[in-house]
Amino acid sequence: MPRDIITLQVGQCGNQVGMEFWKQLCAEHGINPEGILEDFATEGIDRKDVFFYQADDEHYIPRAVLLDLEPRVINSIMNSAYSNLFNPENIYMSKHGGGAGNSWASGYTQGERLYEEVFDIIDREAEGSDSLEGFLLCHSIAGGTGSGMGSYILEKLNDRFPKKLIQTYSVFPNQDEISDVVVQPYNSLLTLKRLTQNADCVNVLDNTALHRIAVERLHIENPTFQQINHLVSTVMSASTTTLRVPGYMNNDLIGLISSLIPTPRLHFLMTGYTPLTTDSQVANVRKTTVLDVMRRLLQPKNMMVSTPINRQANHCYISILNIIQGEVDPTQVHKSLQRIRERKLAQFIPWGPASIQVALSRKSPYIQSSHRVSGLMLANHTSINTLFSRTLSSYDKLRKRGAFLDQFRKEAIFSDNLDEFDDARNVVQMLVDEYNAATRPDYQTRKVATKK
Amino acid sequence: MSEEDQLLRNLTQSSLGKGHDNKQVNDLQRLYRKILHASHFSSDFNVNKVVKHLAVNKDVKVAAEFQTLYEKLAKLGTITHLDNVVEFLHKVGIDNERTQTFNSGVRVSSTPLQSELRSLQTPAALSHFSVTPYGQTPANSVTRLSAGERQRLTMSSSGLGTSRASSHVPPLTSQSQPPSHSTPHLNSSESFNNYKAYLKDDVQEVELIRDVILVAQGIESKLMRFDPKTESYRIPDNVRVSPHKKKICCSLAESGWLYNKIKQYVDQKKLDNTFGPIGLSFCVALQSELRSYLRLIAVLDTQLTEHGSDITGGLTLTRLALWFKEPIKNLKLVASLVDIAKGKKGGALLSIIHSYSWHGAIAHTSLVSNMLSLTVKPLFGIISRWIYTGTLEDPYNEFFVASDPQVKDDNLWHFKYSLRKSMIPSFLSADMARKIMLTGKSVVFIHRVCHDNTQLERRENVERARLTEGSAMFSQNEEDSFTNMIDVVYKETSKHLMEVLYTKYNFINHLKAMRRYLLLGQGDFIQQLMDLLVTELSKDASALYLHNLNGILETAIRSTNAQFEDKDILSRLDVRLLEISPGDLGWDVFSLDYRTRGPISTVFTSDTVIFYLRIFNFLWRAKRMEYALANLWRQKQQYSRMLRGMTELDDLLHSAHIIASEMIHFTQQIGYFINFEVIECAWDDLLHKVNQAEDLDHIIAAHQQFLDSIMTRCLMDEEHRPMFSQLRTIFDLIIKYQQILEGFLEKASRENEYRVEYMRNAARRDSQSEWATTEEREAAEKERRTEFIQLTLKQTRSQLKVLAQTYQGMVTKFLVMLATQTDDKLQALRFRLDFNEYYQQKEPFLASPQVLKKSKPPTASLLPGDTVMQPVGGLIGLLGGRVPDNTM
Repeated sequence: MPRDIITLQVGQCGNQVGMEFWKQLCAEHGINPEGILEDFATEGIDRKDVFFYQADDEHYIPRAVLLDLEPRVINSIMNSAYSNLFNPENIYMSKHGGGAGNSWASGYTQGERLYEEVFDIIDREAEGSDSLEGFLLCHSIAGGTGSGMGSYILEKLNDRFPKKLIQTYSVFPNQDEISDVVVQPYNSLLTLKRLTQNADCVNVLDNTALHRIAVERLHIENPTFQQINHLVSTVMSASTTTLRVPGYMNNDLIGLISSLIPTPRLHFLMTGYTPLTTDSQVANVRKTTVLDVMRRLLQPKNMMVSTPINRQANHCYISILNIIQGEVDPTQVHKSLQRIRERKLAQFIPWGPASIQVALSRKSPYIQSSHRVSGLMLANHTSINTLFSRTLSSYDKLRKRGAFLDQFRKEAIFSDNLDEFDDARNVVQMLVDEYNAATRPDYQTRKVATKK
Repeated sequence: MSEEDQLLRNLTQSSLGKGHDNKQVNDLQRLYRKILHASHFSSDFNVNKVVKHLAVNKDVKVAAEFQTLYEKLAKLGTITHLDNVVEFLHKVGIDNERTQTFNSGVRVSSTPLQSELRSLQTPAALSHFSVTPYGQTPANSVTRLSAGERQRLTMSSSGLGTSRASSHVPPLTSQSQPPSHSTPHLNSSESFNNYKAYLKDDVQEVELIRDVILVAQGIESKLMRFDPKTESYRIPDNVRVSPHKKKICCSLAESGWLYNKIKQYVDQKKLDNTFGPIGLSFCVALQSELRSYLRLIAVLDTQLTEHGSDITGGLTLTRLALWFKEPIKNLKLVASLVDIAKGKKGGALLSIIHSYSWHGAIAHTSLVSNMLSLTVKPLFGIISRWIYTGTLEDPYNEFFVASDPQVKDDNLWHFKYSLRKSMIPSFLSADMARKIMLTGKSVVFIHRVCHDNTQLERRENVERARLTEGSAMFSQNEEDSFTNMIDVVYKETSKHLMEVLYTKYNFINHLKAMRRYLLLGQGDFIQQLMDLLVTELSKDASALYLHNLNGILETAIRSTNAQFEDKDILSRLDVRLLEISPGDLGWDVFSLDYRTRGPISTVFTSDTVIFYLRIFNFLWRAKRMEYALANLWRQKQQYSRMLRGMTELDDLLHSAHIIASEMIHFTQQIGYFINFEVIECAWDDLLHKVNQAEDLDHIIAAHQQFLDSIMTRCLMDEEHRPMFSQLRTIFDLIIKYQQILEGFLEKASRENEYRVEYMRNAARRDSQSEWATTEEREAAEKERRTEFIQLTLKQTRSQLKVLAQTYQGMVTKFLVMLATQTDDKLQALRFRLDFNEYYQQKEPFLASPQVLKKSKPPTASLLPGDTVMQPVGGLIGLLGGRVPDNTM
């Protein structure tokens, strides 16, 4: 009866990212694409039942709900080797298959309409779990289904399961390239409001940074979705590793995120990973120490969020959790921490105690890795608000021109007025302000800006 | 009257002349007769001797010539005593040769006979010679003994040879003195006077010698009495003996005293039934020394009876003194051993004897070594039996391994056997003694506790190293075969014992189980247990039922990875309730327990299990903090979402978030510290040591060290008691804070529900075209709200504020306490708790150079004096806010 987590993958991006995640989990737990436990896998080492449930002795089924308003991605999953992995009852594709047309409003409205069907699946899954700890939502904030339907689901999850944690892996749009989704700023803003108010923890996966990493660090000229998604799944599996391989600490989601998130709204986490490789790449076989890993994790180039960390001096870390996997000498941890503090490699908040938490975890015995040691960083850094500021400014530009508002007005939520936009902008602005406030010592006693 | 008598009378008369009384005549006659009857010719004379002598001294030709002549004479048979005649002539011939050489002073005398002759050349001696054929040999003759003579004496006196050497010296009578001897003529009256002077002694020398020989055996004799006053044998004053002789007798009598002393010791110890085999073999060694001494005496005695005090072949006092020289030395040595051995036994006795073997003189060392090798035999036997079969046969407590018969098998390893320090022979090092004890103990342990009957004795390398002689134990020059034997057996036995523990009794698995369950390593299980126990443990401790808890334990096992654990290990896992003090909650008394039995309980003794339980209690408490704060965090998330509308709560909630996150940080860092800095590091160390361990004691020591380091670093030892209670207080504050805040959140959410309800009702009525609200309803609503804000909110706010301040003060104080610690790991804890130097800015003491120095990675340890630093509150204002740069 472990702390079960139900994964909800919504939309095209959400399902792609989710699929890569499940591939990674299956490999790490020794489960084949059919969901059957491999012969070499032994019991007692890991906890498969956090993310899977057992249909019978050998058969493991992901606690996953696959939702999309168009069938393309889910169909491709159903035609892959993993077609038998998922519970077919947990897959919901919109019958008309038209998708959300990259509109948040459409996605949201359809989500509302499909509420019963979707929540039937979620309720059933929740009832099937012994001790549900929370939900993990995979989606993008820029499109239509992931953002709109995702937002609706977030709101409803809060109502239906007020005591359950909601963690999201939210893909933020690439700012470097011109998106074919013109209403992206609207979509992002409206989703951000829900992420701020209805999620407990948001892992920001910034496509800008992911592309940059793929190009600059992995030397892939035109990275494919799959290559990018592989990066994401690596991060996702690493960040859940302490839940899946029990140790002395960080065995539940809440223990993991409660130390990262001091106040309810400051819950947007950045991730960093090292060493970064793709399958095609031969890893450079260099002896990696804990200090190496921890130092590299503090370098912006390894972060999966593109924020100008160093340009703004007063931005700082609110908290850091490093999950280091592999063979590590535990005595090295303290020395590395000392070195990092000496060289002032990380700037922390001035209004409370904060430090780099280091969790050591085993690697999966079933995956051959060329790296002796790898590390994931989950960090709460105030500079993440630059991402939100960017969203706000592109929203403001678009809104000022009153562009593309028609398709929003079509949906019920905007039929009367556009207050929802203003409200969302207000919420996101408050978020930006709060992160700014968190860089200052008086955050401790500060009067929190209230709504309106 | 025979012809002989007639002849003698004539001889007497002719030598004395007429007019002498009968007595004188008779005396002289008796003397002459004695001379006549003395055996002058050795029976074993062989003509070949003469031939050889001639061949050596003259010429081979001469020798051949002599031989043919002799054979011719023998054939003729005309001379009846041909051999005697030849011998006589030969001796005369030799004497002639010698006198010549001596007078010419060219050759140094080389035979005893010669030296005796030479001594006779002094006038005084000659005067004796003429009257008493074998008088006192002058003392100076002793000093002139040839090397060969001395050698023989030494040999015989050391008990190996007999005193026959001297009997080979052919006796020589005055009659046989050749005329050519340059003896001045003495007239008969002068020689008689001398003879009379001799007779002045009350006793004859031969009697004296006989008495001395008796006394030398510790028997009182007629002439020599034991004088208890001086503790020595003395010739009574009324017996007239020349002072010179008296002196010799007395010094010889010392041997008797020594003999008695040794014999008494032996006799007494033989009857002493508390005196064990080692002591008895010491007695045997003593006896053998005494025996060889007695053998010498017997030989001397025989010679005395055969030859009397005849100067030619018998004993004289001087000779006797010579004979006794070495034996007395040896007796003295042995007697001194007896002296120091008094009251000693077993190993102590061996040590004492061994201490006497450190001596430059080879004779001395070899005597002691001989005795030691005899004495050590039983000890060697005991050791052999002990290390090979584990049998301790030592009814007399002589062995250095002591066994306590009271101790049962389950405590065998720790308490049954101990080292008797006093009984460790000085030739065995302390390490050796430890190894010997350990080896035997391991054998017993393997048999009795592990029920394993492998015969290690038969193993090849063990057999090869096995010795049969105990003397290797103390011998210096051999290639230390004894050490080798002990080492081999020790290693083999210990290896086997550990194999048995590892394979048959799964020691490593138990160790891992201890870590997983009692040290909370199995995270999912612990979490599950915590989940299931929360309600139960919040009850009063006295309301707990063991069977309920056991049921919960079972459930927790079944639903987590613990279910895949070895059945044996799971069956040992148990719940234990610690002693209940009034007011205790379930949290305070609950503990997991691990039942250790069989051989592994030697490592996991009930004492060490107590350590585990105490550590568990602490870790469990720390875990509970994490658990409680995680729940609080969840509720805060939930309620702050729900209570978004109640803006009057914002400031309270905000500071609650801040304080709670501070608490979470604190407990998480404590958790990381315990897990990675303390347990993980200690565990690595333990596994390393266990792999390196040569014997069970090493494992036990490593395990104890493991626990000790955890105890110290979790602040649970005596030294850190104040810090530990500080930590406990902080924990208590956290729980209190959590309870108040959670209580408040519930009240607030109820208040929120009322408000929502009120608004909903108002809206409903409004929609039903009624007054949305009345004055009355409004007043009631307002009153309730005011009460909530004025009472509940205000009260909670101040409560939480006080708690928060207390908490922060406590944490700061805790950090200050940590700062004064010298342990690196505790500095690491402080470092972790204040990584971003938040507390350092609030408490200037933490930023003082003394403290900062300690945070440096490779600093040398500080002097104890440096650590005594009290925070100076007055400086806060001066230094506050400034963070000294400690990065160089």
